[in-house]
Amino acid sequence: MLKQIFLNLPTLQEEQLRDAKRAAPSVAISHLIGTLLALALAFHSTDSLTTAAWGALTLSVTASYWLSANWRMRASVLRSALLREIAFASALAIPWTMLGLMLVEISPETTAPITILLIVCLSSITSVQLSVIYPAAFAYVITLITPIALYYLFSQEALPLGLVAIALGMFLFILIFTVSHLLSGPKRPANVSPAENHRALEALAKEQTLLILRQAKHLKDALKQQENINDLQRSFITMASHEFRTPLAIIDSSAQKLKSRAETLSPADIVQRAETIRSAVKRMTDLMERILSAAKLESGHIALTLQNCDVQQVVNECCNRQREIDKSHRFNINFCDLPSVLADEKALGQVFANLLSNAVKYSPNATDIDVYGRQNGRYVIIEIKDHGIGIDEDDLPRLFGRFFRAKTAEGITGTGIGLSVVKHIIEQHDGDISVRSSKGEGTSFTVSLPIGGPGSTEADFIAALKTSDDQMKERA
Amino acid sequence: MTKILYIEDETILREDVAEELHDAGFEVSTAANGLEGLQAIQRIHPDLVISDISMPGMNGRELLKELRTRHKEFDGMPFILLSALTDQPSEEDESAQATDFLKKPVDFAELVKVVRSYC
Repeated sequence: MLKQIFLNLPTLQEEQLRDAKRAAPSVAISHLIGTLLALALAFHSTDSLTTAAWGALTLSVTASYWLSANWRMRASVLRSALLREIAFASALAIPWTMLGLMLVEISPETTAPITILLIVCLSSITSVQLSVIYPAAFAYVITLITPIALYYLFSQEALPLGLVAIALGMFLFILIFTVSHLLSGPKRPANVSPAENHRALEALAKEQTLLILRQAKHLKDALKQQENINDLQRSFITMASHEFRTPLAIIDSSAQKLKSRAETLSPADIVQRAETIRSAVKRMTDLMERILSAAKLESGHIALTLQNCDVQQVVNECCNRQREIDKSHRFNINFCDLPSVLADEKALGQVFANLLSNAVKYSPNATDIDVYGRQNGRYVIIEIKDHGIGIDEDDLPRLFGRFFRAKTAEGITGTGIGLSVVKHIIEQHDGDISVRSSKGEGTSFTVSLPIGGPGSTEADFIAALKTSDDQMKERA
Repeated sequence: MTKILYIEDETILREDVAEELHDAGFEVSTAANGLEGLQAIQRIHPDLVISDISMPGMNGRELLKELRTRHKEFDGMPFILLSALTDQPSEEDESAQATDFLKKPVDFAELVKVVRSYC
């Protein structure tokens, strides 16, 4: 703040600086004349009237050299600069005039040296401003040495030592202040060559372009995200509408039959119709459950309960359950000795049940489903492979997206939720899932799970292996 | 007697709708997907086809496109889509060429009325 008030730097634009530099010689000359006049008067001020006249002159001189400094600036710049500098000079001159008057009343003999001191102060402060614009050594010579030399010339007396010390101290202070400011301050255009200027401009343009590009990218990403959400909503509505309407159509069909054929239906027919309705209702409630649990999972409401899981056993149980639902397929299970994995057993069960039921669902004409398990370093790898309808290559990248259904899955009941949930669970475990498929030949999903659990280190891995060994020994 | 082919992959619906249409006095054949449907059309030359959209293999829209582009001999045959998909077909969509579009669940009396309006 102080720097701003005294140096006016931040308010000086590049053009202003250039103009000010051009005006600097006239500034220096008016500065010199003003100082001389003020000194001449001050030496003869023996009464208050003369001192007042001196004060007024100091004011006008200060104003005048600032005026001349700004004289050649552009009109718009001039107006603000002039007003500012007059205010600045007045603010400095008035208290000093008052002080001068007071000193004359007290002791006329001391007036002259104190006047010099005051002029030195005034000159020094303004010389800081001057030196910022035009850093020439003569500004200091004029503002400091001239008044002292003149005093000596007129009074023919030795200078009071204290005064010299104060003047020198102030000179040093201002010098250090100015130099440090010049060193740390912004680069003045006076020292910038056109080439450097060009480079600086280029750098600025590059920086700005990068900024704009970054902002554009942010906007694009946000738009893309919004579009994705819209796509997701559309696919959800299409899926939900279709998947709810189909069982509803079955229920409605049965209801219409029951109504129109009430008299001809046998009790067995009625029971069969009731069964049909109930299984359609179950289809709908299952669908609702799946949608809700997927939403819950994705909003992060389900925390993992980690424990040592025997993956082999989890997969076996899932195969058995799948066999109970649908006896049409055969599971060829092939496990190398697998260590247990630190994981959420229920969540893993969900993963493998999903993958196995998909394998069955999407291979209506191929009965074999191969399941492989092995250890690979710190990971357990499970592969589930069917020989069914397969997936188009261009559908593979979106396969794990929510509500996405591959083209080959058309007409096969499904929500597009299962695989997105599977991926979510596996990612929660810091594992990975990948898919390979060729249309008409089958699909293979490979799940890898860190043995030491999510976020596990080498030490966790070793500890998990040890626990696994202990469990095996216990069982043995 | 008017020959109708009904193509639907959901067994229960296929049987129920076929029975209704039969009771309404039509000669009804059925198929479980688009490809079977196409073969049946070529074999029996139905007077009208009712088809689901979402089916494994060839879906209802693909079947319609196939018929309209490759089998000009069936150009005059009414083709009704009966689907659980609620998206109305857009103008440039090949299914816009369907004679009619009905949503599931469908009222059987309504279905019979629509079918009669085309035969």
